[in-house]
Amino acid sequence: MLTIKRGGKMKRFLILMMMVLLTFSVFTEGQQEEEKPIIFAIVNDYPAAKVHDADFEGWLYADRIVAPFTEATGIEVTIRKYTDATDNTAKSLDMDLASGDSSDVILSYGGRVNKFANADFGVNLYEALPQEFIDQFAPSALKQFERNGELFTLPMPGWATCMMVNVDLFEEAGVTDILPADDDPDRSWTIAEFDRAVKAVTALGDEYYGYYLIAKECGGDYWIMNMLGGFGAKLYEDGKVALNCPAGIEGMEYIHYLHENGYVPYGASGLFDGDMASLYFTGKLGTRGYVPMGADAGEISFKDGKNDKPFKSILMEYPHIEGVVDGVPPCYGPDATMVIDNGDPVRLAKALKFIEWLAGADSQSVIAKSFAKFSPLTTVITEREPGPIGTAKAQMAQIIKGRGIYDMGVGFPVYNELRQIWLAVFQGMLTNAITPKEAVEEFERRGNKLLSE
Amino acid sequence: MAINFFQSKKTKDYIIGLALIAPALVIFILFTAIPTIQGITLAFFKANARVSRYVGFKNFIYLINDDIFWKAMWNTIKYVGFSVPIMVSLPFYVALIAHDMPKKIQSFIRFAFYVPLISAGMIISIVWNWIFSPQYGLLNYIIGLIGLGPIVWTGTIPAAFFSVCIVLITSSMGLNLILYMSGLSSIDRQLYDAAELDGCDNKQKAIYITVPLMLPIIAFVTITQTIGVMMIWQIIYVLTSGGPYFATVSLVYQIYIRAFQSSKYGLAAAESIIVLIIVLTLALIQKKVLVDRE
Amino acid sequence: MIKTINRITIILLSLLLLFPVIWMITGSFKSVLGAVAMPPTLIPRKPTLENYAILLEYPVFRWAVNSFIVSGFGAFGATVFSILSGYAFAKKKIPYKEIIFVMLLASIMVPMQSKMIPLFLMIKTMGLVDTLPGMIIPGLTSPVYIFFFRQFLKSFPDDLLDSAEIDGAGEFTKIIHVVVPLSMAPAAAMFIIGFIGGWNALMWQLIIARSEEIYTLPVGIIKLIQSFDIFYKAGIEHYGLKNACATFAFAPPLIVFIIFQKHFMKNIFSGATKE
Repeated sequence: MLTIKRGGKMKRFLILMMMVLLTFSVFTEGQQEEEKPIIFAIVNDYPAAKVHDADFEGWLYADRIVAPFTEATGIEVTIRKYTDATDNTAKSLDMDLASGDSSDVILSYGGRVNKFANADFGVNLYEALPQEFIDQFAPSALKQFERNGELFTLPMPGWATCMMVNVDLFEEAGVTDILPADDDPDRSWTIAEFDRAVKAVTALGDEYYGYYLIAKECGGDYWIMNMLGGFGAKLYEDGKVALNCPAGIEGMEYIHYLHENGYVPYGASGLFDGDMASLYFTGKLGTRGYVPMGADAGEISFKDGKNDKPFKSILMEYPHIEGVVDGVPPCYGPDATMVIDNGDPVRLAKALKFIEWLAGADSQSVIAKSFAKFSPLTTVITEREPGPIGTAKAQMAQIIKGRGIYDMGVGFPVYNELRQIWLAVFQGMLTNAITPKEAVEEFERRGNKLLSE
Repeated sequence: MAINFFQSKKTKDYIIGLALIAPALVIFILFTAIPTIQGITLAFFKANARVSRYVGFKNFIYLINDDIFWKAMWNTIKYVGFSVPIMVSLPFYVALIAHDMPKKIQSFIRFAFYVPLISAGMIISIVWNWIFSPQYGLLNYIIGLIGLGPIVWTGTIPAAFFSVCIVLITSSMGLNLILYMSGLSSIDRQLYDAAELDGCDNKQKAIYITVPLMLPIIAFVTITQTIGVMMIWQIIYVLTSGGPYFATVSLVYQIYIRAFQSSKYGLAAAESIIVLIIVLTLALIQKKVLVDRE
Repeated sequence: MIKTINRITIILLSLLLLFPVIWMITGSFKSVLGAVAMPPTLIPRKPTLENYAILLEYPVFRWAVNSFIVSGFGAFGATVFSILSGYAFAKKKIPYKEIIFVMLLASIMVPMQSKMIPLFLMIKTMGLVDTLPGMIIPGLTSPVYIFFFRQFLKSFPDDLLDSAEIDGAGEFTKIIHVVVPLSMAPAAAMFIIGFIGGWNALMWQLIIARSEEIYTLPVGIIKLIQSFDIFYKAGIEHYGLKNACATFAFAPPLIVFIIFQKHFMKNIFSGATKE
């Protein structure tokens, strides 16, 4: 990097030192190659470990996944944690890759890993991994990440979206006939039924709303996209924006209609996901989009002095248009893992072995259970735990099994830019700067431009 | 001859001068100049974290054809045009009025103005998000009391721009006020007394004595604030995410998204060069107008 | 009459500026539901310390100490170098002085994103990633301060320097005994401003600080705020906790500023530059 130019003696000394170092490294190089463990980089949010348990990730990744692997194959793996995973950037990972200090296998949310999912960094896993292994994955999950027939990343357990319904409010509004019985596995309903319920709940009073909308930041766009899915519209197909069709426009117009007529709380463009949760858990919201991830599914509420009675919540699919589609595949936000090709075939081979283990059924079961996520492997069954949590998760797993997943573009390398465009045109529609039809057209135009670069 | 050279005063001055700026210069070259140049040259490449391919001016052509780029440019100019005059003149007005108020009150005013600067832009914006919240925010509650309807401060097109400006202005004026107050206190009172004898009123005193004497500070403040506002992005990132409908995107916000969310470092570098050119031009114009009058 | 209106106006303005900060501090004592209760009140109805309890589970004091070290050394170094450089630019003749100066200023006109990766690579080859010096060193040259001191020292009376020289003072002595003491006031001001500025240099610190023990306070706080797990327990937006984080990030430099105001401001603003 820096060249220090000095005269005569210094120069000769430096050259001598370099030669010594060079010879030294030549002799030790062979040994170092064998012993260097492959690096497994995990990019996550910072305090995840503390919140779940002390050194949760140490327990999970080190003990339950890496240790058995090393025992079985003799390959050493070092875990490297990056904790600046906010807003789908992975700056530290980028920096390390740029400086040549590269990991061999990375695991993070799909929206972060997709940046590296190309021939510059990885290898085509369709060719590098055995076919039986690839066949374990649900096809729709793989399709999210496939590009031009090549696959660089493997989906790992992720979250999936559904709706939560406040049964007590539905009772008050007199629309419980819409809801399925508790043990009925069919959690689907039609847009017409949904519409009726939303209007009835909103009519209960000034502070009640049937549904909600959020559009303050990119996070939460999946709730809206799932709604569009209910109209039968796909966001993306074959690497292009597919929203500009009658179904897509109808869906956007319906959402716009809900917003214009006060069936959703005021100020969607300024509200966070968490604000909606506040409204729901204080018993003011009839339905909300939901991700069954944790200890809050089922009968819960917050005591705020006014609503001390916990209300009953049940899980439902997003509503679908009758006669057009059968049901709505949930939006699915998987983690993803990939190998980084560092130009060393020995390391690459080890990394491929590890990724087969990491993305295999055993590891995915452990991860899915620990994080309450849903695995893209058809061979992994989400265990049913007792209580409302278990019920919700099992129902969600059924839905995914039956419907597949809704592609929200996580696999695209320009996913984050697409989301920014989506947010922009959606806000434009909400503020009436553009009509729903124009919003769809603009999203298609800008999206396709980005996708074709 | 060599001995004469080393002993001449001029050379001695040179060497001492160089020695004085040496530490700062070395750090500057190592940690600012070289990385900046390296970063900027990426503008002619298509670069992700690992691989760079030379593409000539393609990045610039892409930017010129991108209507959002022009929107960001226009927004940034709007930010500068709206905020900088306020950030330069409001503290000046306050400094003038506070000048002959009791010391304790001066301290209080200085404190009040500087406090918003103490947190990082991102962190104070998080608090403002709460204040601006359409459902749970203080602002909507207050204007509700007066009878005005609720406003989505960060989610409606004219309001979003002003929300960003409010946060920007309130969190940047403190330093200017301190500089102005310090400058004002070092102006000789006798000048004012003499002017009063000549029959000047307060306004004339301000215009003909205060402003010219304070010009160096005003120049410093104007130039640094312009540069600062041109670089705005953290507030936008937290407050509006560039929305609604691209109404608040700024150039550097775009650079951040391109660089770190999409790994398009070449494009980000190209946009950085454009920002550099604009800021340099603005600064040079301001220098000509404000500084070279001395 | 107008004078009184003006005076009242600026006091109102000051209160208005303080208000979001006060709102933030009182908001940090609000519970999850208290923060979203309507109508909002300045004083929480049921004040609680639970937000700070959550915060204290993390090594926030360690982070604060790191911040003090980074900001302190950074501001001190920046001030020292800036005085020397400002003096040189103002008083000494250096070849290519104007060009160097313009380059210095131009460097702050480039958005920092473009130089982050090359700078990181440089720091990495020096082995300073994830260390405190790694965060301090790049900030030691601040073109803005050099600009400021140049302006300030331009009007520094030459006769003082000349008379010192006649008395036999070398360059070194001149600086230490003449320039520095008389620049104490703006130097102290620049130090405190640099301290607070360095405290908030989030972006760079985010990239360099990798392990928990090296985080500076704003870095740790931002990571906490943006973390899914803390704020999405049951999914509710926890404004109270966010406020507590913000208050905590903001408290140390605030305290330093208050102390500074008490002791130094008196001297700076009593016309100390009049000689």
